[in-house]
Amino acid sequence: MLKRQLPMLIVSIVGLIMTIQYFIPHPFSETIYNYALDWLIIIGIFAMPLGIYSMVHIHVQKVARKQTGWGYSVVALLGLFVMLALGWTPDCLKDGTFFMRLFEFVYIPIQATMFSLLAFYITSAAYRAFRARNILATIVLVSAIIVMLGRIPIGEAISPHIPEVADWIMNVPNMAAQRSIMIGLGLGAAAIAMKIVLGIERSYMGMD
Amino acid sequence: MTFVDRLLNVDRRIIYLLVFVAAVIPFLFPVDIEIKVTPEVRSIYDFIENHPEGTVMMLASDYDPQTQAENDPQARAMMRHMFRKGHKVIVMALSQDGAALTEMMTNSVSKEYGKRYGEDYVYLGYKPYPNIIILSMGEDFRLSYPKDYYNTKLDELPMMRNIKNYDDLAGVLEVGGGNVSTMWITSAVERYNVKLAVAVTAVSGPQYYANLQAGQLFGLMGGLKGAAEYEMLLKDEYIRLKAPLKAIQGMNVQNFVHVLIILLTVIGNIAFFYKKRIGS
Amino acid sequence: MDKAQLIAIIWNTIAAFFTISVFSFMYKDNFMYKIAESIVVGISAGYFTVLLVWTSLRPKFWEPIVNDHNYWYLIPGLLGLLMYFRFSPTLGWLARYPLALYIGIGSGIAIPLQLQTFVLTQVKATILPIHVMVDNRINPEGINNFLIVVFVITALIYFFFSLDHKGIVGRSATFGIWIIMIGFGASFGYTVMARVSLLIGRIQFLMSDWLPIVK
Repeated sequence: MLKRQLPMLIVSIVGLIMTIQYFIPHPFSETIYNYALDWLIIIGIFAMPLGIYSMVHIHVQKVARKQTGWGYSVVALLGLFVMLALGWTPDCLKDGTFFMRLFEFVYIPIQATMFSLLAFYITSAAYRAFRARNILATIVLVSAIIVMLGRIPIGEAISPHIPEVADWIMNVPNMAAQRSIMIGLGLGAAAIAMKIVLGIERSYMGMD
Repeated sequence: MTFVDRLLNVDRRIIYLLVFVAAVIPFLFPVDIEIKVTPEVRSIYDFIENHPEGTVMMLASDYDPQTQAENDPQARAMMRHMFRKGHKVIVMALSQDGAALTEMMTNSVSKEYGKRYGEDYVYLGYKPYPNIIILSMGEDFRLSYPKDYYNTKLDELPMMRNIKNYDDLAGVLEVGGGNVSTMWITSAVERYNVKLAVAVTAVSGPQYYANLQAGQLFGLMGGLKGAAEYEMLLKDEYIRLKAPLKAIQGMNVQNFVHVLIILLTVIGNIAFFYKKRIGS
Repeated sequence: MDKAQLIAIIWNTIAAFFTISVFSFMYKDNFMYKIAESIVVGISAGYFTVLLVWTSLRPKFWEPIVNDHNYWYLIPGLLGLLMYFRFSPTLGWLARYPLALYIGIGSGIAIPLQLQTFVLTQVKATILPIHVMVDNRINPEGINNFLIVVFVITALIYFFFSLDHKGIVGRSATFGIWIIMIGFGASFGYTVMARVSLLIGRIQFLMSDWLPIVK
């Protein structure tokens, strides 16, 4: 009962209250809603370091067992502890501190450059795999080329109609396609939420 | 191995090198370019421009270092415009790494205009779980942000004394690199009727056209191109401030790299079909 | 050269060093790339912990209890701590309580908002005036409205599997998938633009921010 049914009952009761609350803007339901949001923020603050705990756990084990590449785990843990040591006072979060400089001149460049590598990969992928093999692939290819050309100044230099066609693609067929996907996703998301509230979907609790 | 085979199996590092060269050339030979402003970007400009001085607006800056290259010029352009018009700005961040980026951006732009903290702008900082935070600010900012980023009570900040929730703002300008922008639509627009415009990465740009057409957004700025359009609208201001027109400069590079990618795609297709024809 | 300039050069050079280290991965995987990768993991976790403690835990939990004596906050705090029992093999079920509250409230709030945002508003926005001719002239807006209605309906038919895709339904679904493909093409074009923008950001740093001050 305490392990399975009660948590499911809590999901259903608070889920139903929150759904009904949307349709009844009464001060009492507003108060409940405010409390719910307030408490949820605090629960969330406590839950967030879970990921950090997992990360530390994995790297500590890797070092303890001297697994392949354990040296890199030492670097990761060193990075963590240096930041924690520098962050002992709230003023560390102000622009210009050593803590923030490490973030600005070490973390940001590495993170931003890692993602910039995608520009190389996407070019290589376009060259190797973006083929007009059939009608659907051809439509994707033509649409992509028009949009790519239409969004750069050289496209307008070739013909002022290219940006116009690109704008039309974005505002009419692309918009319609996105909307159809959105409607499907919206129905799906609401259906899953309903299944959770009604206790049909339970896998998120580790139950079948 | 025939020429076509060699073409199709070219070392990927040669392609990488071509991309790198195409990205560097425009920095060595910069050219002045004009960028056409789309209605969806123009409407953000008009929104800021047409409100009287002293209007309170919110800049929700929810981007990470990964998308800084696209989102930072967007955020700076809107922030500069709001400060030029004399609006009061509430800045906040719902992305964990964005908290620092936003502080840096806010500090540097506010210095350009000599704005005073607490009177002309405030920085609320970061809180986890964006959807809950967006919803809670619809009730009262103090629910999620009892204090600002610098641990000052909101009521001690002159600008915030008469501001309770979204009803006291003209609108929200959201700069985002992920799905936080969608949360703003779901939780702020649909629940609290907030007037919202989003400045998003180009990857997520296309999906927001449906929200734009549905009237859930009054403006949309997509990627570096959107930022470049906004910089075009504020070009004189940037020149006055001696601020770099980073997005416009970036569009120069886009020119070269896009043409390279299109050429490579066309060459790849020609070689593919030629080989297929010979093979059959 | 004053002290501030020297500090700026040193920090920017460190940033440039790590930028080039990550770029070196394009040639092949190497020691410097792996080091950079590990540093990111460590700094990210450290930064986030510090940020969370000073800007969330302190003003939202610690100070309301200690300064304002709002002891009610101990309940969500305790619930939050229960999350950590998920690592325990015997008491793991305790973590289900905060999760239940979180999922319950989240789902309850989501049901009407998801339907409103993604279904009702979108359907309403598709019901458009189709005035193709205005004053005996072709009205482009009317044509576009007409196309939007047709495109959205046919694309939705493609996703509708309760009817066999045969006859008129099949032809509509085929047309619908063409529209979706145009949308995917546009998304691909924008994705290319986005990826290139990220590269531009780094090249801008090297060429415009770092090189001029080092020179």
